[in-house]
Amino acid sequence: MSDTPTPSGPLDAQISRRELLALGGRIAALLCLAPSFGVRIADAMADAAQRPPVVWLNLSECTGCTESFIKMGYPTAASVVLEILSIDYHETIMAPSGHAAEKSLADALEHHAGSYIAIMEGAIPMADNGSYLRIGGRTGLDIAREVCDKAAAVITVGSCAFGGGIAGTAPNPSQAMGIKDALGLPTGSVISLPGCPVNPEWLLAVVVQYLLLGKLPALDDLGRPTMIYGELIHDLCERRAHFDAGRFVEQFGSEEAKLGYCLYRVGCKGPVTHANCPTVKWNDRLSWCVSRGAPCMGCAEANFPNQFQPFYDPVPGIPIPGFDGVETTANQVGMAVGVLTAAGVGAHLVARLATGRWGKGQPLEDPTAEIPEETS
Amino acid sequence: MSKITIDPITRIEGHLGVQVEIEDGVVKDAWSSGNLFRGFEIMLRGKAPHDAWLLTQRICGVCPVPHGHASTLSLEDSFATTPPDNARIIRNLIEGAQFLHSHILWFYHLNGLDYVDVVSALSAEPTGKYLQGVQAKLKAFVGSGQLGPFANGYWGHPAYKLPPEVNLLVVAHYLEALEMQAKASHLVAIFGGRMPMNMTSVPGGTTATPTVADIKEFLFRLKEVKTWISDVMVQDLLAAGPYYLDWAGLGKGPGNYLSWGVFEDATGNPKRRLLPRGMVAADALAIKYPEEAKVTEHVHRSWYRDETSRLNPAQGQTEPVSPVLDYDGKYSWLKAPRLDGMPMEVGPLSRVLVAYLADRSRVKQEVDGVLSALGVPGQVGVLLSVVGRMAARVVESVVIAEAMEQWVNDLLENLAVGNTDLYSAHTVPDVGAGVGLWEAPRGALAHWNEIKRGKISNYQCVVPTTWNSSPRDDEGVRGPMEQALVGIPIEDPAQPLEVLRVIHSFDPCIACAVHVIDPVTNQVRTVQAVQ
Repeated sequence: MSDTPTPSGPLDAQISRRELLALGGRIAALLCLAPSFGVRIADAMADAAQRPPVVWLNLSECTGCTESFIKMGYPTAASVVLEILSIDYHETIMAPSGHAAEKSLADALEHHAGSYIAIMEGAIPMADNGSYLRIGGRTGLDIAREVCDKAAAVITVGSCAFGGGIAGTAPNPSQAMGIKDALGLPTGSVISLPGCPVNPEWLLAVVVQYLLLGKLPALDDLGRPTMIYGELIHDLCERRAHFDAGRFVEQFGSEEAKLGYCLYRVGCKGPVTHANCPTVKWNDRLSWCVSRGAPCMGCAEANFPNQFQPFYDPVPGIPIPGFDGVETTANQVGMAVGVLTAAGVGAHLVARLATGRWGKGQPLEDPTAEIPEETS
Repeated sequence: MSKITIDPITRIEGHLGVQVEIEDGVVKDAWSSGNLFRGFEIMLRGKAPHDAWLLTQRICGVCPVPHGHASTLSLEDSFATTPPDNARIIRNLIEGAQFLHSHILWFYHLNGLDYVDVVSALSAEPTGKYLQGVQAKLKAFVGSGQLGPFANGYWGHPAYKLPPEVNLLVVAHYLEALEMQAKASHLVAIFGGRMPMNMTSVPGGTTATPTVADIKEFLFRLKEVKTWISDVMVQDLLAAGPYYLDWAGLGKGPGNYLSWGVFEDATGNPKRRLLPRGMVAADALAIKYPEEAKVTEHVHRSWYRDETSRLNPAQGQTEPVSPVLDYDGKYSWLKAPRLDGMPMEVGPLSRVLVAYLADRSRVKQEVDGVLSALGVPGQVGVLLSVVGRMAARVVESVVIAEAMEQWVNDLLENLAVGNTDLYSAHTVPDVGAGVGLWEAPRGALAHWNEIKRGKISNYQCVVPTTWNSSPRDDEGVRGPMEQALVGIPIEDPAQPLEVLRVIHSFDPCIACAVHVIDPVTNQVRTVQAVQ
């Protein structure tokens, strides 16, 4: 990979100055920058020689991250596709098929080697030498290696590209792996945006920051930008006061559910999931899971989904106000969980680990366990 | 005779390759290959039953909502519970929004570029300011030399028939539609938490508590999408349709049509769904009632062991073999589902046909209106074609958007009389089995589950693209899409635009289509790739 990425932006004969300023302002807001940054962003985009080329691969995936991406409220998908980026290869939206599509990929890799952004959606199935996924006769593994090798930056979107995710659900029939592990890329070389799906605002924030500053955002140990994954959903949640006061939903459809109480007892994984969902929400900031009474399923966290099933069972090991006589502060819960994710062991969780539950990469229950036949 | 292979097929979900054999400028034979294996049903074994509806949405990020709903229905069948009326309505609203999103995206972004020449739009001479502005942007875009997703298209191909002005008009609407498909998706989020991946339609009911603010927001946004469908999408079909009437006689397929039915009504009777359950066999143009027990899956031409062929999905057991491409033998990860031994076309055309033959008045009005506008009044037969698949999606969009407004009123009426039930309490049985028969935007969708010791012991899906893009069955009978390809004229084998038109008319979704389960060993055999 090239280590000197070139910041660039759209050539903008086609966008007026007024439109550029509006766009810059929105992106500044997205990145939580002061409004004056909007002007600088607009200038940077106007000055750039070309729109930055993007090669987007769909590997072992469901296209949910692509779908999420095109549901951007603003900038609109049209604006992203036509005015901000140059999407040179993306099978879901591109006009050509077959050999003509392969030519688009070859052209991008040849003309923009070392300067394009590789966006990787989906895991890589490693079973049978990668043959569980073929595109144009080549394995997904082979194509991904070439595309990542020649990229200026590699961004993985979604949980599958991060750590196998859904494609890697136990017992992982296709031996799916995340991009970084499958290709053996060094830590810190890949920007990871896990989530099932990725939130489009996360992707745009990273791309724009990279384009403007010419460097990768600050990443945590797992390659996730700290500006997005630095805090727990639990700590940002609009229902947090109910947790602290011990007001819980015990059953969907109940009076407590209608009053918007905390969903921890019906399985919310917010206490162990790092992401800013409560802040940026989803779909034009219209809604998000917990706001509609649905417990967080932990989709943005490492080891999703294996570590988070059953989805509707409470996370073990979290001291609950009002239960078992255990009192704790919000910070203590957050700290315990932060340790869990960062290092694997928290003081509260030793007992759980000792019993084989909630350990590193372990599911709540072993899904591969045989179900005994009925004896009659 | 020449053979061409198109791989990857783009502007679809997932990884599909198609080989066609061409003789004298006409497709003589065709083979459809699904190129990705994930093994979803294996992942579901041993899991908590309530997790299935969330996991199976991840089969397809393009149409997660119907997977979730089919799964929830199948689990409710196992749990012997039914959701309260409010939950039924909220699910219909979420599903309706999914359909509108999917049809808009398909009509313009996945399928539209096969009929609209973007380069030709540059030479239009528009008089209105709006189209002049769009054209100026388009010219600047092309002038930048960075064509992005539009590079290497078959622009200028003789099969593109629209005049430059119509091309420009539809390109303008292509851009509008990018926003509109997002707005339709946002409707899902109002009651579903987010899209893709609806979070609220849990077995037993819904987790969403409808507020006045939500309902107001939903109606306001729905009205914009509904108006746009009538004013733009319908008009584009009627504007472009006359130039492509030759495609009304092409790409018919097997002539068998299946709909499990979608959008539950208050009685729970599948024949009374907004788009009802029914099947039409071998051109009879009469409806029969399909039985899921008569579904079998053939695998002699698929990368699974022959011994597992012709099983009903409820007893499905399959073991993958090494995927070596052999068009005379095995050539796809897709199985070949058959109903009563017959390949069935599924999708909007099948649903609209069943609804039409069931005398659904709004569907009849819209279909008859389209036929008259295209100059072929009363000739329902012309819809059994590539053009029919396009028209059916537009007809459905109109009918569903209207129904959604009515459903919001139904919800309000319930709330007004104090019916605020959202969830039916239930327990997971120790042993159980159930099936959910539903429709995704691209066709018939069924989920089967079996529960032992309170866990999923068997799970199987038969999804739209497995029906439509299936390989040959054990008898050598081609799948519906393969049949539809035979007889298609090809101007230039180096630019097989006509093949893409047929494939896109089925809106394939390959992530949905590839499944496997082995209930005996729960193992996938890993085999050495043959060099």
